[in-house]
Order: sequence, then structure tokens, then C-alpha cells
Amino acid sequence: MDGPEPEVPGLQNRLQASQSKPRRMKTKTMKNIFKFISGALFVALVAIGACNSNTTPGQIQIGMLAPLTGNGASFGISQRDGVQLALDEINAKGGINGLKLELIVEDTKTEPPTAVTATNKLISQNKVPVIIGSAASLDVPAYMDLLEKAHVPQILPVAVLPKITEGDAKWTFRSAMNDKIAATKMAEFVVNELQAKKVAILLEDSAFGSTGMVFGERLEQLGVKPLTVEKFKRGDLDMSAQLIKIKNLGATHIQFWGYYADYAQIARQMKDLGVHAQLMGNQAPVTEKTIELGGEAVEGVIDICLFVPTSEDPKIKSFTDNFRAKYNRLPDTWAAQSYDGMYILAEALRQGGTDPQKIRDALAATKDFNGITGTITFNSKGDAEFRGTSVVVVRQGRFVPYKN
Amino acid sequence: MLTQQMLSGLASGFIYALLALGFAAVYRSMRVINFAQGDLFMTGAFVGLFLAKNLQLPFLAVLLLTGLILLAFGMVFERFVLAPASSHTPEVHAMIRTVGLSVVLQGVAIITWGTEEYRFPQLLSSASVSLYSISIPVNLLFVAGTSVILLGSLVIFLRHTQLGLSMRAASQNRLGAEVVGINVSLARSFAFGLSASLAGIAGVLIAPLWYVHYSMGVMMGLKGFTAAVLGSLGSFPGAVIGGLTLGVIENLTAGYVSSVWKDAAVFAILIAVLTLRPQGILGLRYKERV
Repeated sequence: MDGPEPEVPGLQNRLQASQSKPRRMKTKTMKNIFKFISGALFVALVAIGACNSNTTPGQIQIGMLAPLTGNGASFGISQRDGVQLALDEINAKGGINGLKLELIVEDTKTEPPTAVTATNKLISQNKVPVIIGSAASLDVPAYMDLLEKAHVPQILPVAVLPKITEGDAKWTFRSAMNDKIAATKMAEFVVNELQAKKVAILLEDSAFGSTGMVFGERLEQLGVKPLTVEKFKRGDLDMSAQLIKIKNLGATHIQFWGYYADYAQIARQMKDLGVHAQLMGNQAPVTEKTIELGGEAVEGVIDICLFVPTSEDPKIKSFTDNFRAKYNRLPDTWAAQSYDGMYILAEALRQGGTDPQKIRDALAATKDFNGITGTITFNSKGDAEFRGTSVVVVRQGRFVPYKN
Repeated sequence: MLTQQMLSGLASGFIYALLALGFAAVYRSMRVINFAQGDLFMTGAFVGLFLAKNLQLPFLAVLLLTGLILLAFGMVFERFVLAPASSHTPEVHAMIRTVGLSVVLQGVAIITWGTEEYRFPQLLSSASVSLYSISIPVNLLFVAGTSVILLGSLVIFLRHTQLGLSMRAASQNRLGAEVVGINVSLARSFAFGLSASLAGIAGVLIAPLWYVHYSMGVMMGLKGFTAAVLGSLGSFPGAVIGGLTLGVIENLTAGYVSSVWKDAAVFAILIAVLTLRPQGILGLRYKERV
């Protein structure tokens, strides 16, 4: 028989089905193989990356956490720029022990959870031997335990929260001014220089604002009892109730403790309500953002900080000129403190190389470091000893040294 | 000091009132609580900031344009997102969609503007008018004046225009309104648009006295809602009375009790009203529709 094979209904379909099955299986296996290869490649890449970061020849990598966005951005940007200026100068002079410094910057977005993620990345992925810590005070308590566990030291050139150095952290060093010192010194200034007798306190209802109570305690020790302690929530629209109360108590001076946006808001509402008392603040409002938000209402307000760019000291002048040449603006106290922080760290790297333990020990031994924000010595808590402060006042939209 | 405190409280009171009116407009016409009210307020402030800063428009134009932009946005949102919520519990579905809108609006604001504070161009100089040893800030007078004009136009709109009347008819009896040929779905869209518009205008009004920030609407939305409930949810006069009362209570608490209790007092009142007098100060009662 050589006729065409009889057609069996459905056979073709069944045949096709049986053929397509292994084909489908094949694609599945292929997919799995691809998955495996890409997975392996990823692991290899991470491994290579991890090996690379610590052994890049001729380089020391420094991790930096900075609030570059979010409501701490004005501090974070100053921190980044101040550190970068110092780092460029150090590299231009040949680096540290022949090794160039490289900065790995991570944005904390002024959010403690993001700061934690960024810290984990710097520790486990980049394997940096040292970190320059976040300018946002509330970021720091969130991540500092990770550094204690990983034995990676950090230097904090900007964060002021007292709590940071109140525990028994061994790997954190703060070259910024502890806010408690600022509160004490401000109280002494208010009583001794301004001769104020009727002082009201207005502070943020938070861990950050509560340092303002230290101001009140010191004030009482000096014989001036605060008329009242009023509180507000960060971001409140209306402070009129507190301000009217303060006005009626006859206060001539109002000491604020909180964040720059509320400071500017209070200054504006004081104008609106005709409250003519002298407004004074903590360290946080010493930023351009205060002047941007407050406008003419913040003219004449008094604050405390470590650095004023108008000094005639040649070292400070050269820093100010270089900063202006590079960024086309005047440096603020946070940029200057960060610049100093980078130089303190450079000194520690010179002695400790890339060994975190040795860097930590060298940082802890920092004594009489002569910076542009004063002479810095770390105490046993890792806090910078008191080194003098500047009281500043806003004149024509700029922070300038207060003179009687 | 008492008069001064009460007067200052009225300033924020008017803003709460505008937000409460938005809650009332939406609740009346669709029995939905618009959880995005606070973030529409924030969006209004940012839209206004863009118009005033980038396009350099005068303040009155900014106010009107922002109102129109949010009106259009609100209507489109109602038409394409809320109206299709057709299940056996459309109100609950719609309400959850407004929660979604709130989250989206904040996300968009963060992506476009970041989380920084912005200064809104100053409108009037900081000054105050003195009257019998009470100083009344010019800014307060402006907020109050504009709010009163807005309230007046709202009343005229609801009582004397075709659209306003159809909105009221649709909220009172949906089926009946449809039978007599009223475009109910348009009326509902318009009600939501109106609520968005009121929130947006409130945002622009307060922006020059504050700063513009992505989370500025969170607390304001809650307070506007409290004001609406305090007055009587769904009543326009109730919303105004609730808003003003709230503003004054806030200032009296902060001035005479303690500034720490300012916000707590507001929400304590919300809880008290909800348990003791759920129909609010004016006591409007709505018959449940079957």
C-alpha cells in the first residue's frame, strides 16, 4: 500500500502537544540556567566589589553619611562641601602616607531609617575603615550602634544632640559643640552680656528641644528665673498663643531651642503680633535657610555657634577665600566644622593607616588640634572639650559676630 | 490678653473653616469623608508657589487660578476614580480611594519639591493695627476678609445658581433629582471639585504666613475634619462655626492651660463630640438612606 496514510482525527494535535511539551521544559531549564548564571554573576560581582573596595591600591576610602536632602539638607550640603574642600587640599599635597583619599557619600535624606541602610552599605559593602557621621542629630542615635558592633569609628563634625555622647559609645567622636555647652554658654551670655532680667523660654517639644532646659537651669543658677517655659511642635503653623502669653508676662528676651523653620516662623509671628522682645536661638538656626524663610523678620536675632566667616585670622581667611572660590558662597559654621573634622580625621589616618582600630585610637588621642573652629581635644566620652564659642547676630541678612 | 488670644485663634480658625467646608461639601453630596482634604490643601500651596514664584503672577490671580486648577483636578478625580466605585458599599470604596489620593499627592510633592521648606513670596508686610490696646495683625485681617468673601460667594452659589441648586437637590434626594432631569453625576463631580478648590485656596491663603512643605497638610486636614465634626458633619454653617471654635479653643488652651496641650485639646474635643453629641453643635441629622 502506498497511498497516503489515513488521517487519524486528533492525531496531529496530539503529536504537536507531545512535541511542545519537551520544548516548554527546555525553555524552563534554559530559564533556570540563566537565573543561576545571573545569580552567580551577581554574587561574583558583589564579591569582586567587596574585595576591591578595601584593596584599591593607592587609596583610602572614607565613608560619609550626610543629610543631602530633606529638612536637614542645608546642614548636609555644608557638611559635604566643607569635607570635600579639606579632602581636595589633602590630596593636592600628596594624600596620606602616599595614599589618596576617596570619599563615598551616602544621603540619609534626614531620615533615621535611611541613615541605617546607608550605614550598613558603607560597613558591609564598601568596607570603609572610617565614617564621617551625619549632620542630622536624630540620624546618629539610630545608626551608631551598628558602628559599635562593626568596630568602625566615626567623627561627627556637625551633630549636636547631647544624648550621642551620653552612652558608652567607644567608636564615636564629636568635634561639634555639644548642645549642652551651647545652652550653658548662651545663658551666661544672656545674663552677663545682655544683662537680661526678663527671659522667656520657647522650645520644641522633643528630645532635641529639651536641651533648652539646660539653658533655663544655668539661667537660674545665675540668678535670673525664666518667666515661663513654653513649648511648640516642630512644624506648627501658629505660635501666637505662646507669644501673646510671653508678651503679657513682659519678657524682654525670648530664648528659642529648636529647628530653623520654626525659628523663622516665630520671628515672623512676633512681628505680626508686635512682640518686641529680643529673639535668641540655639545652634541649629545658624544657616542660610533661616534668612530665606524669615526674611526681614530675623534681622537682629542672636544665636550661638563655633565659627563666623568674617574673622581676620589668616588661617580662617584663607579657608573662607578658598571656600568661596570653590562654591561661590560664604561658608557657614557647619562647613567650617566639617572642614576641621576632615583634618582631624586625616591626622588619625596618618597614624592609623587603614586599620579601623588604629584610626579609632588615634582619634581618641586627638589633643590640642589647632583648627579654624578652635583647639580641639576629645574627652573620655569622645566629646570635644569646650573651646570657646561665637555669639552671632543677623545683620543685613547675614550672620556676623555680636558686638556690644 | 483674653481678647487678643481669641482674635489670634480666629486666624487659624478661618483656615480650619475652609477645610471643614470642603469636608462638608463632599459629605453632603456623596456621604464620603474626603481623607485627601489636607493634602489637597498642601497641593494648593505648592501650585500657588509655582504660580507666584515661577510665573510671577499677582496674588489675586494666584488665588483664583489655584482655585480653578484644583476645581478641575477634583472634578476629573471624582469622575474617573470615585464615581466608578460601584459596589454595594460605594461610600467605603470611595473613601479608601481618597486615602490613596492623599498618599499619592504627598509622594508627588516629595518627588517634585523634595522635603525642604519653601518661602512663599510675602504678600503684605508684617504689621498690626492697634485697637484698644489689642494689636490685630494685618495678615489676620486679610485671611479673615478673604474667607468671609469666599463664604458669601459659596452661599450665593448654592442658593441662586442652577449648578448650586442641582448640587443641593442631588444631595437631598438623588433619585428624585435624577427623575426631574438633574445631572446628578455632574453635581457630584462638582461637589468634590469644590471641596478640592476650597482646600487649595486655603493653602494659598495661609502660605505667605507660613512656609510651604510636603507634610503641611497632615495636621491641617485632621483639624479641618475635627472642625467639620464639631460643627455638624455636612452642614456649611456648622463647618464655619466648628472651624472658628476650634481655632479659639486652641489658643485658649495654649495660653491659659499649657502649650503642650494645644493639639491634645483639639483631639480630646473630637473624641468628646463623637461620643456625647455625634450630631455636632448645630445638630443636623441626616436620615439614613435605605
